[in-house]
Amino acid sequence: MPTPTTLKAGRAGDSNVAHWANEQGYIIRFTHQPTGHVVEFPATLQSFSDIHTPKFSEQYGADTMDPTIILSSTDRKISFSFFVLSSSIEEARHNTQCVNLLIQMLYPLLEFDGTILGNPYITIEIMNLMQSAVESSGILCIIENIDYAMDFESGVISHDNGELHPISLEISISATAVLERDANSATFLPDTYPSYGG
Amino acid sequence: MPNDDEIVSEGTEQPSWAGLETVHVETFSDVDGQIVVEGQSAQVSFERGVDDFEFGQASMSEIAAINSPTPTEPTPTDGLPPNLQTIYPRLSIVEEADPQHPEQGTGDIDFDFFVYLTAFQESFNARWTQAKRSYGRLNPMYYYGGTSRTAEISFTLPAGTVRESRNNLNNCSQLSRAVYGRYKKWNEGKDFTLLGHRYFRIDFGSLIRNERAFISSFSFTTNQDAGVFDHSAEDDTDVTHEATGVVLPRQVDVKISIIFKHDYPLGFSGPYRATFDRTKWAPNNSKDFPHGTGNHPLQPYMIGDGNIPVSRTSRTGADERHASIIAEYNRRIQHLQEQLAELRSIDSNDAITENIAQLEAQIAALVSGRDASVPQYAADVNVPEANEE
Repeated sequence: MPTPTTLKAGRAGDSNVAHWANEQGYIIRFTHQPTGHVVEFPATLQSFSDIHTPKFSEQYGADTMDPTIILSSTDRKISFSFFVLSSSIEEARHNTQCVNLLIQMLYPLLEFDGTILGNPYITIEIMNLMQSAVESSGILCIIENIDYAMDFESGVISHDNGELHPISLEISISATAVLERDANSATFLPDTYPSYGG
Repeated sequence: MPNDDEIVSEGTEQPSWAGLETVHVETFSDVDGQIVVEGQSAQVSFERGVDDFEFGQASMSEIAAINSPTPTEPTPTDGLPPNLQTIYPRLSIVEEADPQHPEQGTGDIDFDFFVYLTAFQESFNARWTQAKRSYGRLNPMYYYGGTSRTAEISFTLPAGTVRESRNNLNNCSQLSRAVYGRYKKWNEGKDFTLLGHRYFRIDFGSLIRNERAFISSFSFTTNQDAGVFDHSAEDDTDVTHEATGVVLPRQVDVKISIIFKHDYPLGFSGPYRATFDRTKWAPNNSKDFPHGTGNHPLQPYMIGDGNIPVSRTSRTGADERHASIIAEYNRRIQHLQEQLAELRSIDSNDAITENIAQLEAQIAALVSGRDASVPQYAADVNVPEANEE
């Protein structure tokens, strides 16, 4: 039977950050849709932006000052970055496995002959900043890019077997939201979409 | 009352420049509500053992201090002094044969050196394309085309002696050739044909784990602030050289960009996993991806299940994989049939009747899947012999 994995970064060590994040519910959660794998990180957010961009055309008629706007669609792009902090070699190894799973989520589910069976759609949940208007989960996204940058100012944790882990690792993500519909809603978009809580 | 930002606790602060040859220690105290700072400087010697370097970051001055041998005892550093080699993994960039044309040889670039890492950045890009969206449609069709991995590594090669500086330049010369193509000589050496780019096998500790790659850029910078080894009319010494018109920098900064070309399937399930659990990582090699975690236990989904990697064009492999698939089908069918027999042996009610119907449907689906795998198997093995390489 399929056994999706759930990993929680920062839980293997004595990190105060993870403890505080857990206590406050400051969690970033990623769910890989084709497999159900889940990975969570303490929400040490460094940046967050959510840009909604309408695509429209303008038409000008004779003797009219202002254009007629024809809206065709609206896109939603999300980008954010966060730190993954490690305070011991054991915690660094566990966190590396968590980051590994996050990176692996960019890869698809394969058929036995190597063709793609399931595209790597990922649900991202960041507290009230990214939440579904339909379900109690995050927002379905396609992640276009994950940047992995080691912060050498904070130092590294190494082992003589060739392991090198950053004490502070910055993960930057850019994604496009797949807009959701509520089949039971009277309106085309859910009434509460988009929403930042509050 | 001071606000929170102005409150400084009493005590001693050891600032970040403590790793330099002089440590400056500041002591804070509160005297009549005023903060008094007393500074004190001290010379330090480097007495840290190998194990002490396990957690932290060595500074360039530490490297320079340890890297300066006495004139009578030159120290071969292999890039970094031995105690710093425990912090930074060895960077190995070895040219290998073009996998599609192995007869063309492996090339001669073999960079295998300890380096002082200054930056490491990786990017994972999923290639999604959007189809044209019809009017009013909420989302476009998204087409996934694959995920690529690139990395940028910056490192420094410090030199404490003339010999090390020459070694660094030699290594950089070799590495710089990585971004040029390979040429084949013909027509008795009068003409050359471009064969293509060079393939490399790169290993860098837990960060890059013996991956096939293409080097897409190389940048070489001498740090003029670090100085150079000057000419002297006498013979070469550790800090002077006899040749004129030669610049031997004490520090070289290098940056390379890498495009990975993984030689195994990436994703979940896939051809190397002849199992019904589709949450397992595809390469089936019990190896963390992309970064290593030492002897930390693997997550269950990463553990290899011992299946033999097979390819679609391998007749023998197809036989083995098909046998394992049939066996898995039979195992699950038998398991469900046992459950079915157990349910049928107890008094029936609506819930049990429904469960029996569900089990029968599941068994029928599995039997159907098992039977359908036979023509698929035939298609797998029915490939032209010419493609079997």
